[in-house]
Amino acid sequence: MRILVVDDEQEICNFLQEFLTKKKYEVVTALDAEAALQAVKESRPHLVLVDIRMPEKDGVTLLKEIKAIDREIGVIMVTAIRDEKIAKRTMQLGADGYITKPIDLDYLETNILVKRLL
Amino acid sequence: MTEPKVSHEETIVETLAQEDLKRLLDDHQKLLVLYGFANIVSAILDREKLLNEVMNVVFGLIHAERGAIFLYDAITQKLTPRVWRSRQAGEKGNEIVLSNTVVDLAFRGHKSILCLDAMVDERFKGSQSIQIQSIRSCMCVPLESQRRTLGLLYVDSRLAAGSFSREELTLLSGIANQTAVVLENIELVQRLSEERKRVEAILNTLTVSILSVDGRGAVSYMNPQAEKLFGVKAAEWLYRPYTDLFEKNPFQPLLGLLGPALSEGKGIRLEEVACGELDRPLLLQVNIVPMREGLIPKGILVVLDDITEKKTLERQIASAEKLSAIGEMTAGLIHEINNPLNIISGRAQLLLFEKKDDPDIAKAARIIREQVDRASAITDHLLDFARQKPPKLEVLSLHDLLEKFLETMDNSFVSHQIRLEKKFVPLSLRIWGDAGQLEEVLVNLAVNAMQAMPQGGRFTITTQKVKEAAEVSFTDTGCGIPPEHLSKIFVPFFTTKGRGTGLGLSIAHGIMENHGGVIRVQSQMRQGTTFTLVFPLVRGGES
Repeated sequence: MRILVVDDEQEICNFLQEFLTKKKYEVVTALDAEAALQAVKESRPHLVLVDIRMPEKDGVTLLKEIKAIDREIGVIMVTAIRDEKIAKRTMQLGADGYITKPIDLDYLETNILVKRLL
Repeated sequence: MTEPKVSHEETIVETLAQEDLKRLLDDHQKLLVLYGFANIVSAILDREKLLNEVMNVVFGLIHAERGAIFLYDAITQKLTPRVWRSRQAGEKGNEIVLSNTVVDLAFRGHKSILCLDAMVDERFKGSQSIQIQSIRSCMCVPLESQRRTLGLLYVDSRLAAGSFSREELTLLSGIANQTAVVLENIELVQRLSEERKRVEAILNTLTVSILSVDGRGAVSYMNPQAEKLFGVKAAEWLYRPYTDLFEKNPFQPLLGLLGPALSEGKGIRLEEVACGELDRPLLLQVNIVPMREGLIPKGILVVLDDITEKKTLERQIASAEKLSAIGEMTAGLIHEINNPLNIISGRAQLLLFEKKDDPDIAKAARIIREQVDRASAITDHLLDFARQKPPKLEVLSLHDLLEKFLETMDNSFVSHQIRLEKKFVPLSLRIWGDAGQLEEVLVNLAVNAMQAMPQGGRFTITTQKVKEAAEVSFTDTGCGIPPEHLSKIFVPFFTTKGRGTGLGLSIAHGIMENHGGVIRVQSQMRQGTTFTLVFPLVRGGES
């Protein structure tokens, strides 16, 4: 299973990549929405972890664009700040999960497993 | 024998004397009638009545066959007969038609007309109305006041030429002059009364309170709004000293303004004067306008605008704007803090995952993670604090709100072995509030009380009405708050609990402030604590 991690913080990409690689996932990272779209087109990930707040294009817009490319690609939204309204909106836009930072890695893994089973 | 000689001349003289006497008596009679007329009509304030009275006197003094009074209507620019009379049985006076010639001469030319024989009068040559109505003699005098011509007084006769004399024309003119003066008076009184009604209607609809004080310091007028503000009836206060009125609570602060304004005839305008008390503030915009007659001060006009609600609203809006600015800033800050926390936590979790066999590293990693979670919990609460929304106020029944809250808390009280006591005042207390936010305050206080009574105890809720405010007190029998902490408990992040973020009471404080209310605390070590919430009542809110 291929996972794309999108976050404008390099360090976040790094530890998520390390963790997921250890969990035997194939991991690609992107530091902004444009790079993420490029990666989606090139490597067709099964799942994308999208940070909501990013400079330039934000995570919600990226979610829409990924779903427009392929509805089957799973998208889990990651946010540094809980906001019920945005959570609800991303779910309506087809997001498959919503987790807040600091990320509980066990919880993240459960979310990924669920997506894989579906 | 000579017969006494009665000269022809003597007979003439005698006849003349008799005629003079008769005329004199006649004139005297007429004067009396005129005098009586003047007396009667000057008191008349009804136009129709006046005109009828005039007709009575004209027909009493002058042997006219028909008569009418025409009044000029400035709007239609027409002379219309307002009253008419005829000695001919069955004839209607409204058949009297004025000839244009008469109108031109009398009304426009401001002249009294006496026509001895209209048929041969050069002035009426070709006048169709004169011909058709076969008028022989007529008199017509303008009703002239000082300023303008109000109409015409007209009499005629179709029986004989020369029915009227010059004296009669003079008499008619006298009557006309008197009539014009009274007509003018009636009009003035009418206009004055209309003006008064108009001004009163304006004053009644104004939302500001207006009252006037005369030069001697007596209340001379109050509009309904002022009656409402002072809670008095104007009729009971007219001509009483203004000081008595303003000595009433809460208007004393205005006394100091009115005195100098009245004695010095100076105007004062103050945007905001705080009257009233803490729990029932009254903010007034005050405008004192001196009244003068020429240069002499003649009292003052006091205009008061109750701006209490407007100002409260303004403050709420300002506070809402401030909150929203703080909210935005805090959200940004939390975002910035949560990202590094995320990395620290993530790394600690990785470490824990990789080195779970090394107890020292595993322990350290676990502690790092826990502390990050703690920091993150604080930012999470801070977010709640920052996201405080301005309350959506609606009229609430305080008791209903409390009952609903107690229902949801019932199980918790039981499981904490806390006995609940309700002491509700038997009044319906209506307040402006946001039910959701107030529930948050109540839950917060209840949870604090439970934590203060780990071994159980009594939790008493008391409501009462204190002046124009509703008060709810929550009294626990817990450990109490040390005096040195009492002043800090509403400060954000102040906490004495091992757990907790120290935001609960500060949020409660913020919510109460946004409701225009107050939260107070009283505490006795080892005896218990009482938190009191004070809400302004909806005006007229208790029943």
